[in-house]
Amino acid sequence: MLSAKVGGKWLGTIGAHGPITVEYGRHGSELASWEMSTTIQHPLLRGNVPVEIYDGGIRIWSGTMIEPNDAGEFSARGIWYQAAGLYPVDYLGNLTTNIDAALYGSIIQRPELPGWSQPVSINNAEWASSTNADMRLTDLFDNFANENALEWWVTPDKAILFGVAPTTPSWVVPHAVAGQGLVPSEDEFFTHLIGRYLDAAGDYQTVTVGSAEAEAVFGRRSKMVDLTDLSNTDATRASNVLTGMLLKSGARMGWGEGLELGYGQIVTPGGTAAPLNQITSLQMVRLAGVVDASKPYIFRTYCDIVLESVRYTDGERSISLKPIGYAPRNFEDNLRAAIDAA
Amino acid sequence: MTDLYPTFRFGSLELTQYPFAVPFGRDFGNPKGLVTEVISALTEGSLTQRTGTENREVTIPVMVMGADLLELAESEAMLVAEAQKERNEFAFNPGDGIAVDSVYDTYAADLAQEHDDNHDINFVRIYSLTFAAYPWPRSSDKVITPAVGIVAPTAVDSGSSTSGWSATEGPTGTTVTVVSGAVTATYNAATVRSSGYYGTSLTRAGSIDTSVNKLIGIDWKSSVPAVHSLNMNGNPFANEVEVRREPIGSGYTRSWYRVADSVSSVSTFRFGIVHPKNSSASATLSVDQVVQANALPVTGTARQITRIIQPGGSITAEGDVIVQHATAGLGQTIVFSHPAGGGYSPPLRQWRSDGPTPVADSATVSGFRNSLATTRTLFKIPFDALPQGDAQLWVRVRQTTGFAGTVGIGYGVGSDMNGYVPDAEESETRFLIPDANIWTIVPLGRVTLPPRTLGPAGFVRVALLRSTVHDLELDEAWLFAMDRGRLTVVDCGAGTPATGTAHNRLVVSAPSLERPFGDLVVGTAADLSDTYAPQDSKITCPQVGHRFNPDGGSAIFTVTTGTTDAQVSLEHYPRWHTNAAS
Repeated sequence: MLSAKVGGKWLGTIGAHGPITVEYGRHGSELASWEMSTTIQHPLLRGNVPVEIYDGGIRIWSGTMIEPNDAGEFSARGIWYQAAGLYPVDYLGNLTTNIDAALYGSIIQRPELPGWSQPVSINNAEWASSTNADMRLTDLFDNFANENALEWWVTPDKAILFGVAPTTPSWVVPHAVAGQGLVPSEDEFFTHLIGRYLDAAGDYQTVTVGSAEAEAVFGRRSKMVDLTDLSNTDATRASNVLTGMLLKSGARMGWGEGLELGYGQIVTPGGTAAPLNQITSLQMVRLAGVVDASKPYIFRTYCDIVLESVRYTDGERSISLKPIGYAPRNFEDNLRAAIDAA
Repeated sequence: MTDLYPTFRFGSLELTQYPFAVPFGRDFGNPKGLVTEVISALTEGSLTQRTGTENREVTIPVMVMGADLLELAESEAMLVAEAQKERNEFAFNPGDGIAVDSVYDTYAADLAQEHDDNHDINFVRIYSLTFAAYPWPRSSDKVITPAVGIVAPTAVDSGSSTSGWSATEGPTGTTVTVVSGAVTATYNAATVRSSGYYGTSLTRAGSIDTSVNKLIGIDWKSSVPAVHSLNMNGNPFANEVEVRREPIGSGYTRSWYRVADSVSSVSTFRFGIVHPKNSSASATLSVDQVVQANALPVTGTARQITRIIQPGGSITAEGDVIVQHATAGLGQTIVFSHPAGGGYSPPLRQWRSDGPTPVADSATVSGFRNSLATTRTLFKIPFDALPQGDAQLWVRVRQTTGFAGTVGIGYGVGSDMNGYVPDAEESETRFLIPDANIWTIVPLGRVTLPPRTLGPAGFVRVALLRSTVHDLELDEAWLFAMDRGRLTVVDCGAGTPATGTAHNRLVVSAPSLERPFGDLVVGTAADLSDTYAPQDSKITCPQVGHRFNPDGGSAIFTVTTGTTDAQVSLEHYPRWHTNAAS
């Protein structure tokens, strides 16, 4: 049973509310929502108030309130969004591309990311050769993560972590019928990446990195990547960045569909029905019996996906999952993708 | 002679007395079950699961009478006053002088007049009163179950003599003897019984008075891994609910069973085991003793108490749990309710199997403490003593070298089959120890039970080891099953009771129509007049909907770190389908 704390106060003591819906995304907590009486007013039910969602006594989601409308619908956005609008600025107030310095500046020096912590050093060096006024803090995270084939997320305890995507499954969908819902898509499919970067003289150059095996089996398909965020750099560095990106997403198909699973359709690796409230993003799910022919020269009778988006409503016996590599198909998802890319 | 007729009371109005009357045609509606299909691999049919019940719709025709038409209008106004109340009560008695009132909790009602030109001429008007009501009616009176003082169990049978014992249900050739002070049935585990199963049972013929002491404990041991059950008074179709199971040393397990309130004596019981075919030609089932108690013994110290309550009614009811002590603040308090069954009880120290040597300490909750350094502290719980589903692992720990800050514990909830551990996953949780050398209760993480499918020889294995440099000591660990359990964790403050610092009374009120989210209050006065909702920072887990299950009973488990011998009392309205029976 999920409970919410808004501004440090348990939501149940503010007023009656409906079941809480939690969504997790690529960077951890993404969205939470619930309904309350349309006439309720409380000083804590306002935009930017911290929100924490608990499962029993364990904090599972963190974020801040979105200014409520008057239809009794309340929602909160995930904690990582607090970094989305910030510039990476060090403790002296200067733009930087050093992640550790930027986080020190925004967490310790200035309270721009209240309650956040950085448990381990991420990268204590400049990522680009010069700063770029268009690069936000989350863009810097994305750039560094892509180069090193890492994911980044903010935990419900507001710790920012970088790490590799899991390689062992936390959950299994044991029946092929249930797992077959995933439809491959070729939107995100590529075998080669061509990166455009600025050399020391400030001229545009390109470098290409790719998988020869994927080209042999699936045919060549190239994708352009803009690496000007690196500022002035060289071919070696640009190559390394592209290699990281290729490792991360792989020269393979994406997915055009998510999965809607009922209780009992997804289990632990030991075979016990998974409690749906424990499934979160950046966990790996093995779809047993679903043939995976997406990698060249490899044929598997199971398909491992890493969850990008998880949506669960308290008390319901079903859960919505989308894997990393999901290519938007419906209007709502396309709109969200367009907004994220802007 | 008193006239016997059904009575309908709506709020403060008696609808079966002048100026009102109730014509035929009432409809109490029926609760509508919310059923979802659970997807499974079945190719025929489908699994359905009830997830709740919708309100019922009640329709009562009401006739209003009067001496003149003005009186009719005044009576209508009285009806409207009751109908407009957001919450009201509707009580129905079928009227044979013996049946009791069934009380429906209702929402605002619609009043509709059925017009007919003949009505006014005869100074009557007929209305239809329609309202939605909470699906299950209740009894009129709240049932208060007072606290009980726990008395040590008394032996009913010491297991030193076979008189009264037999093993007539065992396979051919089963003998009953006394071996090492325990009544033992020796049987061939490879011989099938007439029932088609392998195993045996021990039957005891001998009267046990259960008019006051409702709990019967059986200390048993089986040489072959098996599932066990008990039935009483010769009823072959009803296995009694095992309300708690505890290890008592020398390989024996004590299984507690609670007889129903209506059963005042047990004349015979049969305790049996069933297992797959086993090659042992002389397997044994031993019963070392049979005990009886009025309440379950404490687990560790008298800071951990379990009460089994068999509520009235026929439907699971929500109730209020009151935890109090006359003179001492309760400290950090845990209240956990769960349907009784399978012997499940949350505390883990009783199942400790390995790790740093425990040190006896009567100031703790479990009676012992041990370091979490160097080697893993291991707990092994029998495969069937934990409910299936979502669970949370909580611990009570303290830091012993004067450090206050972030510490970590690595934990794993996995399986142990004959010493082999198939699960490799371990997690780590880091948390803040607020004060050096002060015990604190902390949730570690969520797990799924069982970790994997296990046969009768398997155990659930919980491992704990500190993960950061600073040493930690463990008092007790708990596995709370959260699918059907409800958990409340509040810091009431310890020491001499004083409002604002230490509270010796805690009331966890179930959700009701007035307070849909229930209530959690602390106080110090014996009449509970000074209770107030504590600050949110004192509440670590806010669930309040503790439920009492009439089918098999509910176990209410409480931990009060600030005092021993807390008094745990319970209040609830029995809930019924349509007609209350008490």
